[in-house]
Amino acid sequence: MSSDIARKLGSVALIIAMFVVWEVLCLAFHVSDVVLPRPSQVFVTLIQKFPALWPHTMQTLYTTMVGFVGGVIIGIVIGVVIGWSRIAYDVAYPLLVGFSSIPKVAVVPILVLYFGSGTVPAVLTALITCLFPVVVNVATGLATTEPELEDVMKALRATKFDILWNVGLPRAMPYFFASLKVAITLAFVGSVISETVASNRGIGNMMMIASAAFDVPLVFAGLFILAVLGVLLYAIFSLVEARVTGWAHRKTEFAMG
Amino acid sequence: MLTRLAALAAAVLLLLSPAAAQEKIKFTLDWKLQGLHAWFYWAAEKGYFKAEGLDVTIDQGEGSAATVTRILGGAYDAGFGDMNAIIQNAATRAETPVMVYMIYSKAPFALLTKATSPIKSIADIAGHKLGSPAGGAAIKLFPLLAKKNGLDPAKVEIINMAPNLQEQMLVRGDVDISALFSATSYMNLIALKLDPDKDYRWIYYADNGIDLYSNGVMVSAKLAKEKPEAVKGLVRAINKALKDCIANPDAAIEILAKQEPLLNKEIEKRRLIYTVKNLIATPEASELGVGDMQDARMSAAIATIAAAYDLPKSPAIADVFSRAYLPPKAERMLPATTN
Repeated sequence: MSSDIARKLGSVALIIAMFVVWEVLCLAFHVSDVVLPRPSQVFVTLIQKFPALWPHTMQTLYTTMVGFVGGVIIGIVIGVVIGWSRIAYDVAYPLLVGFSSIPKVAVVPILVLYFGSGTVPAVLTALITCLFPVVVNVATGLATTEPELEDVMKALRATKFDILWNVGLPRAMPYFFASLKVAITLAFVGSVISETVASNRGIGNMMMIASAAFDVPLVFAGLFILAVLGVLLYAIFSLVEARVTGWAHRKTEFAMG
Repeated sequence: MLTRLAALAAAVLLLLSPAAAQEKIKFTLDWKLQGLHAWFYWAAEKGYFKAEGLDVTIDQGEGSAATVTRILGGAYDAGFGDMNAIIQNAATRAETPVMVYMIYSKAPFALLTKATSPIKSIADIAGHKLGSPAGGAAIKLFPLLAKKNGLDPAKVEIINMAPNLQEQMLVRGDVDISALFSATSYMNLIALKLDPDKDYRWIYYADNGIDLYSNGVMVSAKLAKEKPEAVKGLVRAINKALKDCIANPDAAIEILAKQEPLLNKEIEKRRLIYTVKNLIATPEASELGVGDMQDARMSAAIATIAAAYDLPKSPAIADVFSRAYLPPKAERMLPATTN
């Protein structure tokens, strides 16, 4: 337990140390704030402009979450189908890999042609960005169900659906929850990408406007918000993972949750 | 039961009718919010659109040429975008958007280099690195500009970058010269705390044989055909707002700031004034009134675009521009710019 606290203090200390070094280096080398603002300038900007930044933050959070939820639901469905059926796996996998390899920044203008700029492309970009890890993990989890368990179930005259429901899905849970941590950060990246290209609101849009006016501290304030939100969302989903699938992990990791 | 249904239907119709009277128009800008977009928000904020029976939604854009594709795709009915992109599309497609109100009667395309650079004319660019965003209009027109000025475009190394990195890469020396939009870059250099007049050399396309029109208000072919009154109302509202903004730049920026509190008001106001002085209040605009254009200049511009992009045919002026929706000339005379 005490080593646990020490570790957490360590990571906080590392973050603080990074900011201190950054601040000192900027001061020592007289770095212009157009090139790299000092963390103190960024914090001041962050606090002064917080009321104006808040709607942008909420917009990004909103599109991220909606896209994430959609991506997870669709991801589970596709993952279950291709994880459970060998044929579906072989047939659909190349297509999925193809889709996931497309740079999402190239997809946004196309989405805008269909839906106009704003919330919809951001949600959809978040959705397609976070879809793939969920699909792969759910499919892997199902595909790696122990054959012995399946055999036992079959001997008990379980239907294919019974096996999926009682053995396959529970076995896939650790994979699924691990994928959520990756998916939420990717969803975040997706909606910010979309906002930088086409939107009227959101952290991505705000950063484009700020960089057009060379307000670099404000751009960095946007990056800070993104980083903090990313860490928070990641933490939430690791907590969920630890609570729900702690049984599948080694004891020390379980204790962390 | 039936009467009750009928009553319900009547009630619903009553509820809907005031909304139906307002013509819904989705309008796209050419780029993220900037000072030079003030008049569109002014028209919305002051109720000019509403007075014309229009319900206009304004979205930010991703490039002045993208305005044309956004309208072609059907997601938008109207927008602020590039005349030359319409010409390109009109050569290969029917039903292209039509320019109905020309705002920048001078194209802002320019080459920018440091004042200390050995590049003094277009012919000097041979052997140097030229930076520009891929697909940007300034770089698309560059080969033609080069040929007109005795430079083999193959002798220039072209480096692509995102539009917002153009000035930085030039300042850092990663490229020797940049092909860009003068209005945008002029202000960006000021924001970078540099002097765009003293420390930099500008070579304008317009002074070197590429004389084009630029951004204005365009509408979809469908809207122009089916709702001419709505288009007239849209132009009237924007024209009125444009004049108001030129007369009151401070109030114009305040309206923009209400839209986006994080805007740098000082810079956006200077951007607005620079754009008005250099691209809008041109001698042509004071002669013809803002919104209109000269047929002879437009024909030459169409020929230039057709040559630059190897278009299969040169569209007729009537395919790309219409003055049928303009308010009378007396209403289109610009007030003097303050400060």
